[in-house]
Amino acid sequence: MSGALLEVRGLAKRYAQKGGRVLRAVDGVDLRLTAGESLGLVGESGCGKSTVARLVLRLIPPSGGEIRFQGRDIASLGEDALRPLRRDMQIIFQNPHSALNPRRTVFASVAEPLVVQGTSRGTEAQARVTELLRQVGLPESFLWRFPHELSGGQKQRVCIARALALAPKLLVLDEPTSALDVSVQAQILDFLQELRGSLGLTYLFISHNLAVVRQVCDRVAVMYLGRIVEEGPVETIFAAPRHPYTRALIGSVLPPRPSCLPEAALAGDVPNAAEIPPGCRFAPRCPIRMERCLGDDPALAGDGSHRVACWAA
Amino acid sequence: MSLALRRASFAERHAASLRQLRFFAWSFGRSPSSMLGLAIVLGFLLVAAFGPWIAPYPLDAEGAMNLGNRLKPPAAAHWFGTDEMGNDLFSRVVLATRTSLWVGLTIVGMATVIGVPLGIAAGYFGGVARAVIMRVTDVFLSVPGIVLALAIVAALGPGILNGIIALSIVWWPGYVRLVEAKALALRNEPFVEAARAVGASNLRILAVHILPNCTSPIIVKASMDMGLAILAAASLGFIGLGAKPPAPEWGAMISVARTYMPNWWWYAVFPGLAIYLTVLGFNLFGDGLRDILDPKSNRG
Repeated sequence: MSGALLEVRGLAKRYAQKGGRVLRAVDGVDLRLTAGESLGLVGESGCGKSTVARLVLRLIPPSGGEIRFQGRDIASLGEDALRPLRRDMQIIFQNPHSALNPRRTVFASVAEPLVVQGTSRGTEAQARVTELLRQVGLPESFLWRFPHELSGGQKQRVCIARALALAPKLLVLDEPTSALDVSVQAQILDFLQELRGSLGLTYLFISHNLAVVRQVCDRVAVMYLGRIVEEGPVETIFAAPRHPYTRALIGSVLPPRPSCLPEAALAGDVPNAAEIPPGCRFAPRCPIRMERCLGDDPALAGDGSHRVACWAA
Repeated sequence: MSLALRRASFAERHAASLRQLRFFAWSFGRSPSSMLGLAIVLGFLLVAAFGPWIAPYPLDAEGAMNLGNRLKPPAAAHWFGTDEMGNDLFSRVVLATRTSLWVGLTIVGMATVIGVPLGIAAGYFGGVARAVIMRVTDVFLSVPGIVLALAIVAALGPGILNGIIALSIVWWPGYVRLVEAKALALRNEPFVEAARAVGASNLRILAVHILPNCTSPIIVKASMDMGLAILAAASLGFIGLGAKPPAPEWGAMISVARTYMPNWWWYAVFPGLAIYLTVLGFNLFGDGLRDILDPKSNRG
């Protein structure tokens, strides 16, 4: 209610599979983003992060739960009712090479939101697009180029310009740097940081790269197998992770020093989302599993800012 | 902020497109077989356009009779010889080009107009629409095209127009298949999702994002199909179900010429060469187009 730009409760996405099995890609996710903050959503590949991104923007319909955007539940709105709301929420994709139509010029791609939403066309659109390109650090001469004439970093800047065209409030970034060269990654991250400050944007930043999240985000939510297992301020989570999965994730990126043995890596694979184990979903791989974990599913609980879904915490 | 509110000129806006076009022309020109195909296709088009001025005896194409001139071998007066009515074969072959051109264009055009929208709808919307469209397409594809066309012409009655209708009916399923596969792959491309994220309607997505990215394989297939459609129409003419003599049509001419083989060989050979060259030309041309427009696809 108060100040939340986006509030997600009990969000679920289920896919029916052959043989009557149900794949629970997203299984009861709660999120809350206040205006101006940056929330990182981390987890292994296949844990449902990108599905959450598409659900929040209503690019795919949810199977259950609430998505409150600016106080309004958009979970079941039709495409026509969503159209005006789309001005306020935009997405940047992982792979800039496929996020731009290869047949359209930079101008056509960046102007598309303006044309679709009926904001401006013709000379006015050209002026706006030029301004957007300048904002993302590209020269006006790029207007009439095709995507194949640009580098990965330049393409990603064009995608950012397109996402900014309608002056959105919420920007969902789905692994925005993982397809780029390391040197370009840093540039784009710095640029995204700057942008958030200058435009007062709210970020939902999806990544599997903890170092990136640590640099960009205020808060972190750790996702495992379709659900959030730990959530809290970025420094708290990195300094004192309470969920064994978070500990394993953080342990897996710290450079091992010869003086100390690295923490044991996680054994086993992520279970199939069609066969989520009963009780705590992390129990089969958990190093500190107890009797209780196999029967009872822990809920996300804790003090106001730092919450964990673990019986041992 | 002072922004120059000047609409970019045509050359500025399309500089990249023009660069790309020049590159296409350059790489097409590097392949001798593509250029041969282009030359044959251009020759075919020129003959079709200027046929009545090229043909020395234009009246011979309408079934004139010069019985004194029957079955003369090729000579200076009659380059391709004459037929059993004494008509100049060169004139008839030249004037038949126009028939073949519009037969090919109509069949391929109809097939594209029917097949492409169905394929795009099937691939993009999926679900029930896709299931229905693709099953119907499969039924058509499971029957050999020319056999089905024969049945249709037999039902409608022989004639060149009915032949074109029949061939159009059997020709579209190939386009559905081609476009469906392409649209299915494009549907989940991030740039389509990005368009949806800004609120673009399905119609806009289909017209702006899906269709333009399907055009290369469509153009390649259409250019190759021109030759095949001309051949199929000639086949119908040959078995007496297409154009009827004395209307000038290559297939129908060979059909009559068959009985004059081998002594009066020129009667069958020149219309046959015309078919052969035309089909070869369109095939080489289509192959060349594929090499530049669709370099990743398999060489058939």
